[in-house]
Amino acid sequence: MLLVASYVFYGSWDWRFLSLILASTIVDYFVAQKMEAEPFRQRRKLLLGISLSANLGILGVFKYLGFFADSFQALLQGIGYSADPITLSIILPVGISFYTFQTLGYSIDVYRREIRSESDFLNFALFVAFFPQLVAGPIERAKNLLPNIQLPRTLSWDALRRGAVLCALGLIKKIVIADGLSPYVDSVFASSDPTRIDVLLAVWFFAIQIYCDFSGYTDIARGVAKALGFNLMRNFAQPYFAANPQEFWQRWHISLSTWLRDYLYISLGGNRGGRLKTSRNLMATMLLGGLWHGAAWNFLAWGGYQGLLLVVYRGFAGRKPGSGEGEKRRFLAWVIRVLQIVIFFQFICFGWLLFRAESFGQIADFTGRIVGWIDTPAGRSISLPNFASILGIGVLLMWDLSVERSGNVKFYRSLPLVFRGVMYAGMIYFFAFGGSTTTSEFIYFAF
Amino acid sequence: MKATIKTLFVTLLALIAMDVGVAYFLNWNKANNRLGSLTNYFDFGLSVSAKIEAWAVDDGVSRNLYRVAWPQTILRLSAQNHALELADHGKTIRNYGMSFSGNISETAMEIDPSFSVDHHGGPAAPANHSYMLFAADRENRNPGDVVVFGILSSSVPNTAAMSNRTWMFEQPAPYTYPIYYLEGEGLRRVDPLIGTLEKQAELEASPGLQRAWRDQLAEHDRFYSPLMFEWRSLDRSPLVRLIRRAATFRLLSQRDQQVLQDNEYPTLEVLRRMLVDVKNTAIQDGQIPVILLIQTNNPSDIDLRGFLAPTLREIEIPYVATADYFDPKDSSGFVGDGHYSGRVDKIFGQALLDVIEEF
Repeated sequence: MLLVASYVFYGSWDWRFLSLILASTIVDYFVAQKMEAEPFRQRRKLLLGISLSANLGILGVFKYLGFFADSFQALLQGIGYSADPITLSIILPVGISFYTFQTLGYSIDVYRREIRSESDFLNFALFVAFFPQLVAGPIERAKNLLPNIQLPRTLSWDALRRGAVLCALGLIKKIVIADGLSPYVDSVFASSDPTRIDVLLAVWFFAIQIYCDFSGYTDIARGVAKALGFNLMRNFAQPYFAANPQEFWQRWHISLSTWLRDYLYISLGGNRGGRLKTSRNLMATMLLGGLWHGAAWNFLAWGGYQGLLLVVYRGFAGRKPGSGEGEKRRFLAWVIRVLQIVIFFQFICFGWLLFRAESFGQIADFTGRIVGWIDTPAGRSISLPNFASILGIGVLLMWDLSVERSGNVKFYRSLPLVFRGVMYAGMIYFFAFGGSTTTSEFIYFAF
Repeated sequence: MKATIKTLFVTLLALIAMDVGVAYFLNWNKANNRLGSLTNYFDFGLSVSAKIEAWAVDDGVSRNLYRVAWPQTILRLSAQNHALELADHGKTIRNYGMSFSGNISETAMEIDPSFSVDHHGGPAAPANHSYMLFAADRENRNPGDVVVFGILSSSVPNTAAMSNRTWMFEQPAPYTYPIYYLEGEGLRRVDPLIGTLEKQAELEASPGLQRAWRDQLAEHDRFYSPLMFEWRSLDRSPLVRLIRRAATFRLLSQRDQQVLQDNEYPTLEVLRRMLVDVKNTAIQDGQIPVILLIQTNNPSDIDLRGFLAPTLREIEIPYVATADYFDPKDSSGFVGDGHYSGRVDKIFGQALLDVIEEF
């Protein structure tokens, strides 16, 4: 039933691309069966190669072929060769990066003998296509989701309640905050002559927009899954409370960062082999992480920038365990930490400028306006985002602070019933009050 | 399960208490004349009938649009002005459109002061309002005049409406206009039952007329929905107002799509026939027709240049498409209320003068 629902959900966007999910599912199902039965490592490697080729092949054709063809053509023209224009009108299938990585992770886990292959084809097909997280994650691990799928379904009032809170939180993040900030951010990035304040505000607001847009989707996905009896992994842990790049990547898009760590960084050698090799591995992992977001040079630049931050940070501070969430500190330690957070937030925001900009020219132009190389009029030239979205940022800050301090995402469950009732009612009222009437697509649907 | 029911019950009670609190706060604000943006925001969700009624009762209500753009009033004023014009008053731009086309015409006049401007328009007026005024105002134009016919990208779907009250939910200016249907080679016009301000005043006191008017809207206006007009008692709840507002926006956006993409109304062909008539009539009267295709900064608007320019080229009528001169995505060209800035209007004004010069 859930599998049919998942296929209907995906097919309602474009039924033709169901064939890609099916292809990925069939290849990985049979490859995993064979790998499990295969005692020789070399042959298992060969089988894994089939899975990698099939999945990365699909991803390469549908996501990257146009980009590389364009770039190659531009390169030829740049060095004086005339090249016939190559026109590829390939539609990017929604969610392709998410389900491809999910099924690849399964194959690698079976290859490494970390999990057993799934014998029930329908269970495996549901693992690949489970609709709440199919189009924008979290990128689930087989060892987490498959056992959940194998269990008999039970309806629990408690799970329904928890799922409803997650959905409400996600809707507020998306429809009140992200969609409320979006017109302002879009206006500034579309302006040919924004002021310094416009650019600064737009970059800060974009940082909040993308967090609320993406984590809002994740909350809704986790909420829906929870109501159906599934526990999806946490994808965000108050990422802007990170005080350094290492913490940031333990808090931001956790399902992707841990995927890249476990299947790419470690496969490349991880931090075994000295500082230079570690730096190389970090850079390669983050560049590919950037490219995962889309076939564009600015995503590559963003990945490179994140890699550089990690390399520099590790060079100075080494590697520290833990993300800092829920840690107890003294007052002075708190003050220092808040300062670190505020300063590091500016570094994160510069990364978002690389990510959001429409061209390298705009990156240079906006950077020039921020640091003062380009003269701009004083003040703002574009009206601020609506009141509800600004209020929403305050509410979200309080929420994230509560989770951060307690280290418990369900902190509110310890509140007395009346307080919880008021909180739930407040969420409903606030959603109705601040809900944007012009909603836009989730940003990460494009990846 | 027991715990969940308890939680639901407490949440519901809290929601009702909040709603009563907000209603009390808003009423207190109104009673004490503290009409801030928060009060206005909640009022945006009132039913259309409640908004129009409040405007009718009190002229002092903020942003009152009750009296604006009624065709009869515009035409009466136009006739008076025309009678006062001196024989050698020079060239006049007769603007049929809305504030956007008015601003461009005014700027053209600033660049070339030998022109004067005569406005006939309404807020965000769709083409049927402008066309009806153009047709009825024929006697008030002179040979040598320039006829500027403004079409706004955001109001293109509303060629299938009879009043702004059915599609501008937050600011439902009640002025009305006919709807046009294709008939033979021309257009058939269906006039609204409520065509004047006086008739509008009569409407409020006559349930029979109200029924007939709503029946007419339901039959001809693609944007009419009882959701916007009925269930006035729900206006008491601020929460319901918010929900009504959100639901109406969703509905209107669907209707836009139905009119433009699903071709529930032949918008392009109706516009083409209107514009052919504007051109023929103006040329016959010795005037210069110019169509202004005005693209707003709303990215979800139809691409007006792509939609209409080929037709305008085909019927050989001069036009200025704002998108040819300024990228509507560039927010530096707009002021806070969404109109083009003076700097950009100057570019359009010059383009308008160039087109007139070329004619």
